[in-house]
Amino acid sequence: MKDLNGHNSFEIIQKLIDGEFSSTEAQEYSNIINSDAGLKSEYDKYHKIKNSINSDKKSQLDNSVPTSQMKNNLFKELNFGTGANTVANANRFNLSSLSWMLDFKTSVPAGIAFVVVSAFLLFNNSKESSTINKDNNKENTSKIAITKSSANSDEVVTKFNNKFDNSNNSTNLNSSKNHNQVTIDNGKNLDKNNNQKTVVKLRDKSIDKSIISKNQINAGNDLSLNGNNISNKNIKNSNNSNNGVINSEVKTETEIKTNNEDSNNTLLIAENTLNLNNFDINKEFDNIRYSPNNKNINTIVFKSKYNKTDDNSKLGLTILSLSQNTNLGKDYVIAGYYKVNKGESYNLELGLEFNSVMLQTLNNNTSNALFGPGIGLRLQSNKILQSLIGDEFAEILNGYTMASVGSVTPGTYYKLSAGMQVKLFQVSNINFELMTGYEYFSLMQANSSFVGNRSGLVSGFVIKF
Amino acid sequence: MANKFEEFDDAELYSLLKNQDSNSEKAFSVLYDRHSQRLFAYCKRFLNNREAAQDIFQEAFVKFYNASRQERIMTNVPAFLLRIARNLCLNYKRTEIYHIAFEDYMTDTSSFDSDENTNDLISLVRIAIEQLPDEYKEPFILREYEGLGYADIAEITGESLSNIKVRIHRAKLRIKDIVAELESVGQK
Repeated sequence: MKDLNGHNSFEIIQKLIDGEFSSTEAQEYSNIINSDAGLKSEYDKYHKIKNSINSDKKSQLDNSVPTSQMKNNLFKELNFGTGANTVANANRFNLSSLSWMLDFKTSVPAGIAFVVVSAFLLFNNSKESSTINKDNNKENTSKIAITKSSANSDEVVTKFNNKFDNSNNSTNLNSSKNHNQVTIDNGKNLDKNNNQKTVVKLRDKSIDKSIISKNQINAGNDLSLNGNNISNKNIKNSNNSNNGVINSEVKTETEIKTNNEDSNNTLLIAENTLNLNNFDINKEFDNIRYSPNNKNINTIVFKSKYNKTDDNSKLGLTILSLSQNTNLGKDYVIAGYYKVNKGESYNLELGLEFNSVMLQTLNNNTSNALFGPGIGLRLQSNKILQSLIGDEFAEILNGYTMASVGSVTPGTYYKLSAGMQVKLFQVSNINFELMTGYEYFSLMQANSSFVGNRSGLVSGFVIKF
Repeated sequence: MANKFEEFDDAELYSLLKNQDSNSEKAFSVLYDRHSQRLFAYCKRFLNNREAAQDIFQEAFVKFYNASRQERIMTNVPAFLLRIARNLCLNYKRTEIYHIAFEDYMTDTSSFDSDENTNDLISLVRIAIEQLPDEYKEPFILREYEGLGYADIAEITGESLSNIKVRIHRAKLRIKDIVAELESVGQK
């Protein structure tokens, strides 16, 4: 006979509920408990508690799904590529990625060559990143300031002022990470016309603040502080360009130490000036954190990451020549493309183009150019090449296909081209590429009768800024 | 390709981490997907502060990944992750003046279900757990919320197996008593 009195009875009950007995033992104990009203009551009580713990556990788990941004941050921290990128892309909310390609072709004697000038300009905005586009020789500035508002208040106001000369700028600061003594409320859309304030509440008033501002920016770092000591250290500048992708990083780490626990200072912690070099910068404030090292010294770390990739801006000049010319003449294209998808392995762009077609074989007169709109789809991928020829060679290759359909005066045209762009060399931030491919062009009349087609190799020269 | 890794068990995936190559990344991703929710829940529960929990959670995974370079026989990945997270949480608590952010407080209550009686009891149980001494609370949470075995809890906390069993038993007793007391106060 088992002893179920006192603590031992509770032990038996909770083991029974936790399923720690064999089935024979469980049956035996269940019978004993069921035959005793007191034990049964105890059993029911703990059973309810156990159930509530399970419910609580489930609800807490359901409430603890890490965000994809957390995974992205972790993978970034670990310098992972593929997985992190997949996550990053999934989480990036590219609200407007706009790619405009401007093509115009200049005719030269029949069947020999034409010139295409392509201009790509991309604007890329997302919740955690912003794109700053500027004209030549203009200066963009970004200022980050934190001010302590009053002596008796434990409130510190941070100001994120972004001043950009270009009107197409907006900055979202939304990913603050801070430890328990500061609440940074970001996520406000900042643009050149608005100076947003972020309230940072310090719950511990008696602190020395050691504030480190780590900014990966494309500029120096101007700081001013009233009555406080500032030390700048570890200013690093690295500009890397790779395969048309411009990676510009300037790491500025600024440490500011103050002893202003009761002071009435207005503390301007950091003012960063960005001097952009005529291209877009993808800026991320991805890791704003406040991490006290100990109870007396507290640290605020601002990490701002500025990445320049070819997703952000493309200004291309393309010269194409058609090596074969059959029963149709030349076509001249002006096209703009809107980036509809940026996958890990490909870009997909939807474009609107205007084709001017010369029906050389019908009337042998280039003055009878016909003009009409069309839509096109452009797919770019170098991952396919990577799988075929390896990373090393794919580094300098970029495959593309383009399909478009539209109407000109006689009817409808269809165009399909595929080929690759080969990086030739790079000067400063300008990429020089060779484009080569195969194009098929077909034209139908309005009554659907076939006018003719043309196909042949195309090759050209691309300059990307 | 990803499916192949998903078929691996934790120990196999962990062994792939050591190479620090593209397979490591995929293996890590699968391990992350398997255990991140549980780990994050643990950090949140431990710190009662979502922001801090996010940082500790990330740091735990970084340490976990870095630790994979060392020779180690991995038998229980979640227990290992929890041990790392626990140490980080303890360090954090030692150096921080602990505050509960308002939003975390709100988060706690938002997880309740629609059954008021259940919610009441969950509230009481939570209060009771909070009132436990740390040496009881921690093994109890590791056992009841993280589902760890006694041996794993003993390893994580550095206590003896018998000690852990006793503490968990006492924790349950106290919770039962505190809940009963709280219920009687509520009825008055």
